[in-house]
Amino acid sequence: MGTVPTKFDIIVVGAGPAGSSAAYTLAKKGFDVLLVERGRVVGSKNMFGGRVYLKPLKDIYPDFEKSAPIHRWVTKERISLIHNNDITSIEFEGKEATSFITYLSQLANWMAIKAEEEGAILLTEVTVDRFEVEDGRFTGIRVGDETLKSEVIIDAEGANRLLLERSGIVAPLKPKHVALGVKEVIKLAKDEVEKHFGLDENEGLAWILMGDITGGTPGGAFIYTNKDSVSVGLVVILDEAIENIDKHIYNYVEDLRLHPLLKRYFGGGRIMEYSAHLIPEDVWGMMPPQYYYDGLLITGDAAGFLLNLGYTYRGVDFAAYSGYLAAEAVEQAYSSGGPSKENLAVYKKLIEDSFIYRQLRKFRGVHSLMKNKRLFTLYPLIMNLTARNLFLPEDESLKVLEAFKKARKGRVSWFTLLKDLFMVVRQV
Amino acid sequence: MPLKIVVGIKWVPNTTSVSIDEKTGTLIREGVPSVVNPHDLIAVEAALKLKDRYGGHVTAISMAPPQAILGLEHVIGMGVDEGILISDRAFAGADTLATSYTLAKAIEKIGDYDLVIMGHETIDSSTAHIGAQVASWLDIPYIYYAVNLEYIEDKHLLRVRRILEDSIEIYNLRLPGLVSIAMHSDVPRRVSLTNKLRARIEKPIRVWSNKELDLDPNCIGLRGSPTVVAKVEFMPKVPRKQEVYKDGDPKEAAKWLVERLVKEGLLKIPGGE
Amino acid sequence: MRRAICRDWDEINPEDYKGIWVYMQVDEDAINEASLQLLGVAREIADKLNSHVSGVLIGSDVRALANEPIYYGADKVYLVENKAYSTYYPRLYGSVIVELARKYKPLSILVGGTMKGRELAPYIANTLRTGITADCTSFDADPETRDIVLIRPPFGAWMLAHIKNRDRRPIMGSVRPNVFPMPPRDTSRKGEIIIEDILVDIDPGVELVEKIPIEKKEELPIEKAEIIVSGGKGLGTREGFRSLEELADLIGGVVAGSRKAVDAGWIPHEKQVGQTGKSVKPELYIAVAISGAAQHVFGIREAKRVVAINIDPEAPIFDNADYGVVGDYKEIIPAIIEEIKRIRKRV
Ligand SMILES: Cc1cc2nc3c(=O)[nH]c(=O)nc-3n(C[C@H](O)[C@H](O)[C@H](O)COP(=O)(O)OP(=O)(O)OC[C@H]3O[C@@H](n4cnc5c(N)ncnc54)[C@H](O)[C@@H]3O)c2cc1C
Ligand SMILES: Cc1cc2nc3c(=O)[nH]c(=O)nc-3n(C[C@H](O)[C@H](O)[C@H](O)COP(=O)(O)OP(=O)(O)OC[C@H]3O[C@@H](n4cnc5c(N)ncnc54)[C@H](O)[C@@H]3O)c2cc1C
Ligand SMILES: Nc1ncnc2c1ncn2[C@@H]1O[C@H](COP(=O)(O)O)[C@@H](O)[C@H]1O
Repeated sequence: MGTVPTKFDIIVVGAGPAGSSAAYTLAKKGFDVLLVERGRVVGSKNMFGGRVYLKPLKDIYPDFEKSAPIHRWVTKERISLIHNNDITSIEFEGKEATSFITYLSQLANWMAIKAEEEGAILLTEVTVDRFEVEDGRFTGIRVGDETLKSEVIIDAEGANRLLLERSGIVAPLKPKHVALGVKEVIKLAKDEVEKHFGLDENEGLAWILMGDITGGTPGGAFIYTNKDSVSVGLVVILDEAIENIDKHIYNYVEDLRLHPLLKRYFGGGRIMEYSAHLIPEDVWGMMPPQYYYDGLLITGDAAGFLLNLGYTYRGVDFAAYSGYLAAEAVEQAYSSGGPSKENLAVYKKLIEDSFIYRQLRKFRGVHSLMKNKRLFTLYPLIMNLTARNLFLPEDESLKVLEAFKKARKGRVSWFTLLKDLFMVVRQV
Repeated sequence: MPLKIVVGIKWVPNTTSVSIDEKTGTLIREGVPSVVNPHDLIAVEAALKLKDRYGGHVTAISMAPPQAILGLEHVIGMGVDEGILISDRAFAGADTLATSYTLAKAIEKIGDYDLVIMGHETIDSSTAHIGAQVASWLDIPYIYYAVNLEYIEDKHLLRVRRILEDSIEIYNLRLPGLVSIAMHSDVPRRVSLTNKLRARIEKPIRVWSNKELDLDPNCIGLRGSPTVVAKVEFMPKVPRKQEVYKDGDPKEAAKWLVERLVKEGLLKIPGGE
Repeated sequence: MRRAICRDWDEINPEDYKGIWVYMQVDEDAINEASLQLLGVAREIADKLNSHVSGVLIGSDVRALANEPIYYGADKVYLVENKAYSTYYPRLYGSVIVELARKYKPLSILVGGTMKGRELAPYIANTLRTGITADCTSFDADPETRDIVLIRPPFGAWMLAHIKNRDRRPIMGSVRPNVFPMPPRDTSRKGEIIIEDILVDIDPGVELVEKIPIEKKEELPIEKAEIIVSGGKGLGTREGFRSLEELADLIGGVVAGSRKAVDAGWIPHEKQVGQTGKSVKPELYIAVAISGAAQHVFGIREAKRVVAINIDPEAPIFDNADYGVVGDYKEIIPAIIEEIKRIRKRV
């Protein structure tokens, strides 16, 4: 029997990909780590679309491919423009994959178990109310009327980041900074998934849809094939959604599920789960002024480390990797004499030298595209009209350009069109 | 003399999130998280109150699958001293006779106890059998529906206050004895961070399989259960008219409703039929 | 072939067990209604099996009540009268019934599911090493096999489980009050009163120190009301019940509630409707801010008309109601009260 400590080297708040990866890495390095999670079960509060890029996770977890819960490898990518009952798609298919589909709840759970296996102590159903601050240094966490002390806190609380808000580091989130994601998981037999989507065993489809399915609100829909279920959902920019959406966002998922051209994919499946979650959208707009403070490192969504490519998100791998870098930073700080503010500053350097920062900078402009509503309603319409003109000739067949011109006419000027096209090509 | 208390807690599916497959009529338990039976948290609270006032030691026991260790950790988080998980495939399928037998044998193995506390009933089976049955196996006196417990130390008695349909009763219960706690007797305390940490670090939870308990296989699990579910019948819902007024204006809605009720003679409006 | 049994059970021969017993709970100086109601259904089972019904009456001064079970349908009454039994203690009364059952071997013992009944019945079953089913809602009897099936709603409530007692006897069950109707009291019925001098050698281990009767408010119990206005968690506060009381007063009804309303302490448990509360059978049941969980709706199966008022158009209660109004009860209830007053003035 041990005795109950009142101080830990490191307290990690939030057992999402960022927190668990930080705790795992630190515990492996021999630190005393406490990982606290407000959910009853790790993974119960985490939600996402479905696809994760492998490389960063492999760098953190050497045995990742062997033991992590991987549902399917993404071998098929499809992007569709949807208008009314028309869909125009481009599809890429190959036999290699650099990303996989999973349930975040399972992945988060796996990561937390890894952290525990390395000796981190995991406590669930613990909601941190605020950070303890003494003379400007973050010294521990407060839960109800109890406090626990630490040398370093790693904040991995996710996009809501109430703790940062309460510490005065960030202002309350504004609707324009975040998007709302909603998702349904529909149960299908494993072979049905493969039959419906034309996949072999272990192969998966990542499908992005844009168009009037978000009711004209900037955003997009996604469909991912899990092992024996399908995730269907959509993401809409919150401030736009608040203004434009007249029905419950849930209804849009339902429209998607019951869409005449889509419903056959889910045929007969039972809805297993419905969930909704915020995603940082305007990452640069909501980033905290710094990622490190005296005794505090900020990781994952809380720090705004999420890449929005417009057609897909990279959040899990970014979060996990930032947690890993936070752990590295702590170790380096200790070996330079202790976790003082100056020594923890190495976290900033590690982040800025990493792919996280490079990628975020590179795709910085994608967010601005989101403001352009034409991308979400008008162009899907024009594309589908073009396809109609092309494939459904009433009489004489048209040339591609003719079909396009006919679809464009009166809807958008060439100038605007070219400008928008240029923007998209430039940013994405 | 500090009290040695054993509390029975059951690990039950969280009933608010259980739904039924309309086609097969079976419960959809998949993905339904389990919790400590809420009434048992109230029983734990009663035990901890006694411990707070008179000193003592509280052991929680649960017969359940291995995941129930989370439930034991939860009550240790509230302040229970130790937990015993009685877990073995051999115990599966037990009805209340076999369950109470197993629990009673485990309590006998713990040996040195003054008081056994049970919850009012479980939310998944709500039989309220186990308390009386355990008392029967242990051959100790018992009282149900306690709302308040007081320990009379010099006589080693428990003063039990309970509320029945038409009376309040106060009993002296000889110890060792058993009480079940009324479902509204008290609000269970919150889990404390320090106690939760203790649960993780000191690991005060023992797991007993039938190796440790060594019970006759004919007395436990399915074999030790005289009752069996012979069949399950899907209960038809009562057909209702399902006319719904959605328009939003309360006045109009009230008119709409009252008109229908009056027409059917359900509201006694003098001469208004 | 009989299966091997637990070494802590005694060998029995199921064929030796005959007759349906009903335990007669005595409160003050009358038999509890739940016990009398059970005599009706016991009679039905016994008739199917060509068997008999007996009441079991225990106390220190209960002879005057001994004919009552017979009036309500029993063929026999086992009367155990002794000063030692002046106060009910579960282990004491339980042991008396165990002794009686060992001697007379009833096929079945039924106990009214009052609070005391639910405390007592499992002790008897366990001490006899037999199975027991709580909260039965109906029974099935097979004259061929002389077997009784006990039917109860299991967890989830939209189902009924048929429960059998494989090889142990007596078959025991408890039944909540008012699940079965009161059989008619027929004072011309004749039966046998068997006086038993059982003195069990058991220390009850408990002593009643004080008993304070709860002033029964002269309120109609909800199971007898013709109109019920019932409130749920969505009322938000205890004050929420005020407007329901006002409506109930206006239309001659009583107030009841869901389990969450009871758990919140807004109304007492005896007013809880549902699987673990009461089954009600009013002409009109108005469910206000109640979501309509299966366990709740279970209790209003026999309501003639159900009205639902809920702010959430998706609330399951609307599927289980005749008339539904979507809206905030804070607006709807006063509007209904106004409307009724208006009509009344008019006529
Ligand atoms: C609809 C949607 C689709 C997405 N699709 C993808 C995708 O396809 N691919 C991808 O890579 N990413 C995707 N993402 C993004 C990805 O889910 C996140 O970037 C990632 O989960 C962030 O990890 P995190 O650890 O920073 O935060 P989270 O996963 O949000 O974890 C934070 C944890 O902290 C806990 N917590 C919060 N506050 C407290 C507190 N006070 N005390 C204790 N615990 C606390 C929470 O319960 C939670 O478990 C998507 C997101 C959404 C919403
Ligand atoms: C074995 C078992 C037995 C049970 N037995 C019973 C039982 O006997 N009786 C029972 O009732 N439950 C019972 N339950 C519990 C049951 O499952 C439900 O949890 C309970 O019935 C829910 O109570 P509620 O409808 O009041 O609360 P909720 O489910 O929380 O619903 C509140 C409702 O109020 C509505 N609302 C909110 N605000 C307003 C407003 N301003 N105006 C109008 N509407 C509003 C909401 O839309 C919601 O539908 C049992 C459960 C189990 C597992
Ligand atoms: N499997 C179990 N393990 C421990 N205690 C139990 C178990 N089942 C029931 N109990 C206790 O017995 C009480 C009554 O349960 P029940 O008879 O199932 O309604 C519960 O509130 C618990 O305190």
